[in-house]
Amino acid sequence: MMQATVKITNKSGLHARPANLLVQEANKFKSEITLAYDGQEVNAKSILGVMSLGAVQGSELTVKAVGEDEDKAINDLKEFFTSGLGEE
Amino acid sequence: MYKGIVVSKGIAIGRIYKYANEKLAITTRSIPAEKVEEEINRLEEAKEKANKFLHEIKGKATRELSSEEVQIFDAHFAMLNDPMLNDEVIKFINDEKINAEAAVKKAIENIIAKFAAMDNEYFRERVKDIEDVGDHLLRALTGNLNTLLDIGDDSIILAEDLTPSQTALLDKDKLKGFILTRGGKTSHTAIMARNLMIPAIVGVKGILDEAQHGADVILDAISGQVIINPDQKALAEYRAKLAAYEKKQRELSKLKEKPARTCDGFGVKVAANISIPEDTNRVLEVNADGIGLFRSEFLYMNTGQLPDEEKQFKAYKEVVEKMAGKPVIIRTLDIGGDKELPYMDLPEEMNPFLGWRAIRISLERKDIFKTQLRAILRASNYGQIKLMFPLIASLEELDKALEILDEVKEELESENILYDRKMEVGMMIEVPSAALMADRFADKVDFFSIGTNDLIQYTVAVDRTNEKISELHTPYHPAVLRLINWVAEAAQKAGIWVGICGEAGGNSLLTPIFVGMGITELSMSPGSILEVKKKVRELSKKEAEKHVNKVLALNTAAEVEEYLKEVSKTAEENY
Repeated sequence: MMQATVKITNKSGLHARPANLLVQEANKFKSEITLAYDGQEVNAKSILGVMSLGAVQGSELTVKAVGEDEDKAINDLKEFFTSGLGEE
Repeated sequence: MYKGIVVSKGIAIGRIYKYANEKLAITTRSIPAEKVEEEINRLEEAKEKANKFLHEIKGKATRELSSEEVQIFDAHFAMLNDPMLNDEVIKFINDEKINAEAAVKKAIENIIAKFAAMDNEYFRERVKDIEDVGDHLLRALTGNLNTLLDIGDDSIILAEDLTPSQTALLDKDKLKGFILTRGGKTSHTAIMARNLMIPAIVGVKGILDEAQHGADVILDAISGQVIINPDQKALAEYRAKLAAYEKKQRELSKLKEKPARTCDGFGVKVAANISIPEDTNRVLEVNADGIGLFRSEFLYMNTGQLPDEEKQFKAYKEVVEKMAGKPVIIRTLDIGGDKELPYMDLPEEMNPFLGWRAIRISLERKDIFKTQLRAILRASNYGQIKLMFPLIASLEELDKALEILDEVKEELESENILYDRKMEVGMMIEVPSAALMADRFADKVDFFSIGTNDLIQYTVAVDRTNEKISELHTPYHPAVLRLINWVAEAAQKAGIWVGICGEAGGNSLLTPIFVGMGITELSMSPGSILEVKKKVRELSKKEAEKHVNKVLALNTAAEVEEYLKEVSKTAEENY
């Protein structure tokens, strides 16, 4: 298992659009990927799960990946969070 | 046979496409263990259908909405195919041995509960999206996915009323008419029907429960009736009527290239009212003399957020370029009253028509107002744009609006952005206080445009959206005609022109009166243009002036209407 702490930098947090982009990103990997925040852990490939975290700008989340491509998954997702989830 | 109020004239013979907005009733059924797999298969099939449906909406939306708005559909797709939702539904079917519908309903309710409990308003509001997706899935499961997307040839829509985004989905080539149980003359659907020049009647009682989806139907939006499952005799009768009506329309279409001028040389501009840039096509089809009213608020209503300067500029520019040199009058934002903007969170009011609406909002929300003025001014460089302010009730309001307009012009100057420095600026006369002060207003503007719908509402104290008193909302009321006459006189004295852009402008019974008063522009839905033009051409200005004197001496709306019908009949016989 690989894991990393990420911070939400984009303005609107895990709103519908960024959440959807994040799900698409997570779906590129075979590994099981989860997001944990505020005592909840959800499937990062589920937009409803991701949004149900209610994470806003500045929130810190833990990303975990288990599977054959877990290294790359964690690296890419970390990068994706840093770049602002497709938002400026 | 059912009766209703005609809001767009015409005759159509077709089939009912019933669109029910009401929530689906979902019943929970227990299923035996061996049927579990079957229910899961049903779920899969429904998902596939709902996906296809969303795909089609997205395709339509891509053509009509901005890319940002389209992306919300991508989120809907993701929700529909969400693994968490899927697992939960299957778990309910497996564990509780219930039908797929009930399982979907339970799973959606569970997810919604999580979102509804959140502190953040944005996330709470996503409940609507989740409900929407759940509703698609449930409709697909129960065979109720009548989506307005799959209408067949000669479809006549039967519904309570439709929202602007629902009407946007309709295939305009197959759509033949509207039968609505709610709505009024100025509802969105009514306006759209007139723009499309297809028949529509509203306020039809009892029909939604009784008429079947797919039934044959005759829609007579001349006398205001609907016949479901007509017999051969009725069909034959209406085929003949339809042919006669179409013949009359063809006759009228010969007037397209002719000017609207009385036999003694008084010229009237016969212009069109539009709501969205797309409407311009109909305006060009009937060769209108211009656009007398561009209701800019629809740019704000068909979207989830305030349209930015660029988006507005593009819309205004598109219209004025298509009109190729003919005038386009843009009315600044007119929301409030019966027009809501959900994202602006307008406060609920006891009397919305007397409340915070139109120019009152613009003057207070200067940011929104200035963005719009900038977009209009920039577009004025591409043709003949005129600007007008809605709902002016006092000189201070007009002064303030003009001041802000000057501010915006200065900003553009300093940024070296081009605009038409000779752009005419006018105001609407919709409030009796403005009508009574017309002589003072006339010194400050280039033109008046009389909005009769609101002028009647405020003069006669009748809520124009209240069906119960709709008969009181009449343009024939002598008080209304006196006000219009007074405004026209004040304008002529000051040397400015005056037009009419409310429903009354397209009412050919009133054409002689308006011509007699010296009104030089009549703006209306495109479907009425040729008929009014014909009327103008049959008149002499001199005769029309006599009719004005006669009418202004009458006591009641009924007398006025009766007199005008008589005038119309005589003219018809003499022509």
